[in-house]
Amino acid sequence: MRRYQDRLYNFGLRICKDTQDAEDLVQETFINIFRYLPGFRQESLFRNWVYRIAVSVCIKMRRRSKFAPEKELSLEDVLPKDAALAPEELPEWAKQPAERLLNEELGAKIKAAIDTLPPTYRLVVVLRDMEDFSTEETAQILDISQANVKVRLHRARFYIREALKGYFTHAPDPS
Amino acid sequence: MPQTPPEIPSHCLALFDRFSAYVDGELQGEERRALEEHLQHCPKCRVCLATLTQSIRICNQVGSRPVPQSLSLKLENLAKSFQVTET
Repeated sequence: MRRYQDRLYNFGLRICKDTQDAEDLVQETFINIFRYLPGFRQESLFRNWVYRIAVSVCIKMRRRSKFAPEKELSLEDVLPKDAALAPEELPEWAKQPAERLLNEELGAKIKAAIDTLPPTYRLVVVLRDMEDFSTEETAQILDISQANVKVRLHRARFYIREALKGYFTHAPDPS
Repeated sequence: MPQTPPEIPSHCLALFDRFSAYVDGELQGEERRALEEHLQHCPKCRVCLATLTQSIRICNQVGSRPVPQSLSLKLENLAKSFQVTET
């Protein structure tokens, strides 16, 4: 149980707007895990089953709150705004080891970018790029097609990349 | 609704949607070959792809926070109430 406490709490922090919502998500998810554990079918991975429950709790919590309705991100929303002026040389931040760049401020920037994504895009990018699920697993957890996961992931990633570009443009040179 | 920036060359735009699948190793055959050939000749797309890859790596490396003790206690009590044995 302890392993899933950590995982679900951090998943909650990534998906929810604040820590209280993340805690509510964990508690509600565990209530459902305990309730439905006797019916768990061994043929599906336990981790995937747990996240399916967490996502379903998350969707129910969203319906209860005052979240805006789901918005789609169009291709135009994520196309680089400055494509004509895009550099032809790799910026310094892209040359550094990722772990060297990460600090609390950058973590907060990523969190802020994820928070402004429409909910399904947020879930897709968190499951794929932060929780290490495959495209197939993410599609199963969210009950959407793999093609849908790929489109949303692509757009969410570019959205986050734009936010990071902005951060590094204004932040001190990482070198 | 923002308009597609006219400055993006159409051949770059046509391949833009495949970058993410390429990073994930999900692009195969002719699609993969066409993208790699384009990348050889287009420095802007190379930078775009490299910064996307780096952005994904950074997201991958974001650390986790410990569960607050108060929440951990609540979950233990919850498990007891459902008579779940701690493993």
